[in-house]
Amino acid sequence: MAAGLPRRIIKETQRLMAEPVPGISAVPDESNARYFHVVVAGPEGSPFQGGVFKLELFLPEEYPMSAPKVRFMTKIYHPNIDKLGRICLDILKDKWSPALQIRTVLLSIQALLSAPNPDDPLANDVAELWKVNESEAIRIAREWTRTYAMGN
Amino acid sequence: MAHQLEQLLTCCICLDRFRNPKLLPCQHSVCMEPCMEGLVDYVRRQVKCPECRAEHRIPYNGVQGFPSNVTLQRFLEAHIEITGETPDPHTGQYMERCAVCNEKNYLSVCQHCGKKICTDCKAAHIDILKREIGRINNQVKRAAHRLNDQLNSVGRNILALKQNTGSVSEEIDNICKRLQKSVKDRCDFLKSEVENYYNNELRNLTLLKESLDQEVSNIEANIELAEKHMDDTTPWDDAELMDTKDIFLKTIEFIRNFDYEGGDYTRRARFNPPDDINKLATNLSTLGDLSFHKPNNMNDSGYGSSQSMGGLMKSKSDHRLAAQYRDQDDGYNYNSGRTSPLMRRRFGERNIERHDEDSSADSGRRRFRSRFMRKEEDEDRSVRFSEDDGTKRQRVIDSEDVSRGPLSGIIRLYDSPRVMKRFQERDQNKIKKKDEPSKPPQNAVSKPPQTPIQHKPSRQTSNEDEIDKIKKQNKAAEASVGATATTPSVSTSQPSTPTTPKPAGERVSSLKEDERQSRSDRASTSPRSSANHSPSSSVTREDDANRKRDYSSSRVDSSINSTNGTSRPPSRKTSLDTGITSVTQRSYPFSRSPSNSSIGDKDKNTSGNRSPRPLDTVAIERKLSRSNSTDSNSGDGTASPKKSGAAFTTEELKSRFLRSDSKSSASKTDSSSRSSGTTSGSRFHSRFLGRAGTPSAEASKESGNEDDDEEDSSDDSESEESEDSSSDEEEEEKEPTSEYSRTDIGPLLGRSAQARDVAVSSSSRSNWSDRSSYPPSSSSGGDSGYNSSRYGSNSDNSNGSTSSSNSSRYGASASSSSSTDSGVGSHRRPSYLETSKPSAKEKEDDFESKYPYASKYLSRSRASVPEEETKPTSFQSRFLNRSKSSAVLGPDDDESSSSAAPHGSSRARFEELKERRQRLARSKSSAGLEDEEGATADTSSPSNYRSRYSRTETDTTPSSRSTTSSSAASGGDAEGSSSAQLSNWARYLKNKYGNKTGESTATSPSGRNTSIGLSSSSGLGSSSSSATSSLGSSRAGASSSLGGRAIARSRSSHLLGLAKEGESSEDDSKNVHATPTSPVAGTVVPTPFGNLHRSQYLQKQRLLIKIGSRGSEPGNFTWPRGIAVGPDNSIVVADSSNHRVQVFDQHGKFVKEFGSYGSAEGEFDCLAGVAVNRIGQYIIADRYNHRIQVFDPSGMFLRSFGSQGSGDGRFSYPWGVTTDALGFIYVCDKENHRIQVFQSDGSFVGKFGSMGNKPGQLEHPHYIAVSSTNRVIVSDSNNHRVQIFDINGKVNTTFGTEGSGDGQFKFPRGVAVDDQNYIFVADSGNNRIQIFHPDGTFLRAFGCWGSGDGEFKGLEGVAVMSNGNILVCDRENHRIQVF
Repeated sequence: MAAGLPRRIIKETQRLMAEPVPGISAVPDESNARYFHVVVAGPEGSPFQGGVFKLELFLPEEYPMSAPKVRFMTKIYHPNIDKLGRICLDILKDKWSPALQIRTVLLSIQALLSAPNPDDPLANDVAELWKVNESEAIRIAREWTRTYAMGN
Repeated sequence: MAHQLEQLLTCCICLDRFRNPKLLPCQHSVCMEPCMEGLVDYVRRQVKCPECRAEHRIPYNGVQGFPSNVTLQRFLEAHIEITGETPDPHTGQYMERCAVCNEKNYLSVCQHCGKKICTDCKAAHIDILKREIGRINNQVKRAAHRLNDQLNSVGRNILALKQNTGSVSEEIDNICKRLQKSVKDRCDFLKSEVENYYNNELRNLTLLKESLDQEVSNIEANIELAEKHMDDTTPWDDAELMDTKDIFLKTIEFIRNFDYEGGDYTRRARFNPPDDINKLATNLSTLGDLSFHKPNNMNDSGYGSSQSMGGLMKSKSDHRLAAQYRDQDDGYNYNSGRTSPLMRRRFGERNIERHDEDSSADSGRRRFRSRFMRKEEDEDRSVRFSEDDGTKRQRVIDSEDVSRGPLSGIIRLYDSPRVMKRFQERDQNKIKKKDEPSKPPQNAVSKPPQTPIQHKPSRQTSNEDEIDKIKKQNKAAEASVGATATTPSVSTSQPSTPTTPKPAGERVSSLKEDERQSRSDRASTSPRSSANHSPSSSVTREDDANRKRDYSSSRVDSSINSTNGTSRPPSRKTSLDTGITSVTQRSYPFSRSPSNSSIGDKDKNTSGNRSPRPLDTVAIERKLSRSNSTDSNSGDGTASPKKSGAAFTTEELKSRFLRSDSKSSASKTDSSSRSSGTTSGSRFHSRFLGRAGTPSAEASKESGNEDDDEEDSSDDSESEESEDSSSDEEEEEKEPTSEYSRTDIGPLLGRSAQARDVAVSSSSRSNWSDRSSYPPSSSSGGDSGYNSSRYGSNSDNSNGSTSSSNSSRYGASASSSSSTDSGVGSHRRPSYLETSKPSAKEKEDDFESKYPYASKYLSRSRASVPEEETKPTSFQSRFLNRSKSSAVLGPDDDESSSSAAPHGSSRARFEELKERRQRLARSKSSAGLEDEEGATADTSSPSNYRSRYSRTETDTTPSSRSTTSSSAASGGDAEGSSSAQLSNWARYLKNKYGNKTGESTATSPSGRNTSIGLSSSSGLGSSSSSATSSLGSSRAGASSSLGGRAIARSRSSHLLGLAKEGESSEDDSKNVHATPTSPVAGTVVPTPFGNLHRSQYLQKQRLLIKIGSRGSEPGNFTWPRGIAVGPDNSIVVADSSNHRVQVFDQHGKFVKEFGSYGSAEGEFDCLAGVAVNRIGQYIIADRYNHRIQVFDPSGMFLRSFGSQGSGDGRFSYPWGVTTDALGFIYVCDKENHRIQVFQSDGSFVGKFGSMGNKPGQLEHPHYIAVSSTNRVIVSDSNNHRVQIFDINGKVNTTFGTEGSGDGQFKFPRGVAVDDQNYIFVADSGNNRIQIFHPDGTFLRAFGCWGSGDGEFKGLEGVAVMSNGNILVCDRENHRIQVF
């Protein structure tokens, strides 16, 4: 409230509402317009297909000059996502650009689900398994998806 | 396509249209501000392209050095042209750092914070403002009913005023008729007398004429015969001739001798007008007076009364008296009516006004601010926020041409052009919204009061024009005239501008409109409007200030006078009188006059002449008064002497004054009995005369002089005198009166002159009422005797009554003072006795030796012996009883005899005025025992009595009293002198006490007389008074004796409760020494059984009663806090979180409740302390409302005072509250760490204590109690100790440290004290009750943590009943426990 909501965030939010990205919904929290409840559908063809993953996204004070903070709330078996839901994604770190937006970030995350990158792991055990026994890893991922991301 | 174009024109960072796009080497463009700023890596002097992440060195002259993307700019312009988009509102502006969020943005000045801030912050501030407005609006809504209430009450007042004035004029008519009738009757009578006389004389004369005719004819015949026939022609013999000769000789003798001494028939019948027909005329011309009450008590309707109107006068309830007093104190006497509220400031000008006030205000003024004014202030406060805004900026809404409230200057928002404009805009926006639903919400929310937000720039610029437009539109709408250009323009503008409501076209059109209005608007916005209303307000203010000044000056004068009087006793009288009289007159011209007149009448009555004479005396008296007092109020004369004497004055003055008064009264009596003529002359004369009238005039004079000079000497002299005079009955009589008067003075002394005035007035009133109640008696000859006697007693009474009235002012105090006998007095006395015993001892001994019975008497007095026997021994005891035990004897005798006695006995007395006087003197001096015993007894008894009296006084004021050996009056004086050192307040208290003793004694003896001597009318007045509960207020007594009416009156004047008590106590006392039923009596009881309590307390542990549990139903509590015991032993509990007060009887049965949540009158917000004064009024510390509220015994709201703050008379979370017998209210001002003391009317008296832990300092004082010896006990909670102060705020004792051992505390809260001065402390942190000896040493403790019987959780208030039961507020258990 200190400085009100930057115009950009308002615009982004409005646009998110007006033109939602397929498979992604981001809704600002009632009490905090910088906090978004995000739901990402598991992309087709990935082991996460059919899952509905909840994320939280927070726009820090410096946004858009710094990246939003995103975290999976739903448990997911993914080499770039640790068990706390933190995401290893370059654009959320050093590759952040102010030209990126919430929607682009969420699209990137969706893409990350389609293309796990075990070479830049965050969850080492998962990455290991993904590298060693990809089918097994995919199976587990599916199972997790079924277990955690399809409950409701 | 359009979408892509849009995207191309949008900065990727701010997602807005490019503003001053800068072209990076990578060919991407970014807004210069604020986007580019965010991209700069200052460390590496690089810019990273947000699109391609390419890094570019920043040019030497900064990011400004990147070339502008001119192409893009052109595109932007083209786009704007095509779409008709408004140009960037900020072109030409520079971004600055927002003063709030520190972001770079386009700024504008915020009216709320006065800083330049960005729109976002501004929006936030606007939000805040809106919320504040909402909040304040809620407050306003909640408080609005106050205004409504006041509106109602104003309406009621209008009615009341009508009624009042109607009744007053009716009264005047009545009086007029009565006077006319009496004059007419008299005229008729005189005429008929003349007629009779004429007839008689005529008859006689005609008879005489006839016989003379006869004689003449006979003689003529004889002459003729002699001439004609007395010759030789007729033969006459010698015998015949001899006879004839004899006949002629006889004839000649007859003719010679016959001398008709008819005198001058022209002057035979003569009408002798009364000597002072002129005076009479003037009296008539000044007949009666109207007293109009000042604005403070708006409810008070002026009451008028005139001499004969006695009955009309209603005594006022004590708070009214208090209000009156306050008014006087303030010097708020608007003789010519009160200012209309309109004259008062408007709120806008508050600051200046305050200033004036402050400057003109001397100490008293603020305190006494009427509630009304206070409220106004509150209003001001509540509106503060808007006001603050106003000071800084031009008023936008508050323009000149709107209707505003006459009192507050608050405008009606609906009328403001700005507001209207906003509404219109809103409507437009709505329409627009329909057109384009995607319109951002902010636009729709244009809030009236705020300055327009950024995205409505056009509005801002063309404010006035728009206003004009709106106005016009309104006009047009009203007139149903065709819409002027404005409306069309608006409508046209709508379509063209999607986002901003106001198009340029509109502006133009508005500009076209005539400038007149716009100008006026403009003017209204700033300079003119302010100028316009400020001046008027300032004028009014000035007026107020002037007025105030006047008041203050007058006040000062009066005060000066009084002070002068005090400082120099002897010659000052006149000045004093003037001052005093003026004061008194101002405030009570009316009441006084009646009383005076009544007195005069009575005197006259005593003399026996009904009509003319009394008037004469009255006139004389009046004259006297006039001569004395600068003011020439008709009524002043008598009133001023008595009342003023009683009322005014600083000690010496007072004493002197009183003396003079008493003397004058005495003189009056004398004059009345002897001749009215003597009284004439100056007041001094009268005094002298009075004295002279007494056999030992010299002695009396001496005493008077001495008194004037010094009280001590006077005391001595008086005592001597008294002894001397004991032989002389009359003297005695006078002296006693003087003494009484003095005693009266004593109380008066302490108080300010005004208080006195009030008391006086009340007393006068009471007297007057008595008299009035007794109109027939005055008329009847027999009554005259009674009257005179009464009058003699009256003087006493008046004095006594004055004192009593004073006390009455304080409700409880009155009772106590009046009835030393009654519980209060008794309990008070004992304490005095105890305290001052050593000094008094000697006297006592003497006294006892002199008078064996005296000791008895003393003991009895303490023990409140009831007997009424006439035995000599008993007489003393009786006397004592009466005085102390409260008119025991009085009740039956008085009441039964009062009505009868006055007349019959008075007659007898009248015949034997002297006797009566003697008796009176005796009775006064010593319980009237002498009546039966005889003169010998008289001498001794008076002296004894006196000694005793003095003794009692000495008790009261030990320091100065020792010198006074015998005369109570002197005692009073001495008190005054001694008290001079003390603060007024303390003095006042002391005086009061002194008075009480004096009064009580005085009244009691008189009462005694009546009871004893029944027939002796002397006692009558006093006896009656004593009878009436021996309240001590002779007035009450008199009234009671007079009859129901009088009683009612006295009651109305608040004595009633007391009187009742007194009566009950009387009965009780008769039966036994006062039984505990009446609280007073109950209080009396403990004294004799001093140790009883102690042992009782030692045994305390057993729970007697348990009241309540958690809940909000009657009888249940939610965090009960304060607790108090009422005069009828009721239990009063502050049920804090239920926001109510609950009252239980002494057995814990629920009686009633009152109060609810809120901040209005009679509502509470977490009340804490509660206290009950002697007349049963509830005093509540309304904690979160930061005020004290007072309720009458039925729970009806009487008044409230105080508000949040730290000034005098303001509170910060007041907690404990208590009251003493005089009605002073002590408040624990918890967060201010101090104690404040108020009069019962809420006027500030004093304060003591400050934050700290040194002796005399306080930290969060929670509860307070005042003992009967005026020890103020405070639980200094955060210092874990209890402090005992004297009434001046000086520390007497401090005890307790932090801990849980015996005598240690942890956050002590409730404190209580019984009449033995045992102290009870609710040791909250230790969950126990501790009991301490009066000196602060530990006695015992009981209780522990828990919720069982006798266990506590979180103690709050504690109280003690007169029977020693301890009441404890067990807060967390939500109950009351009684031990």
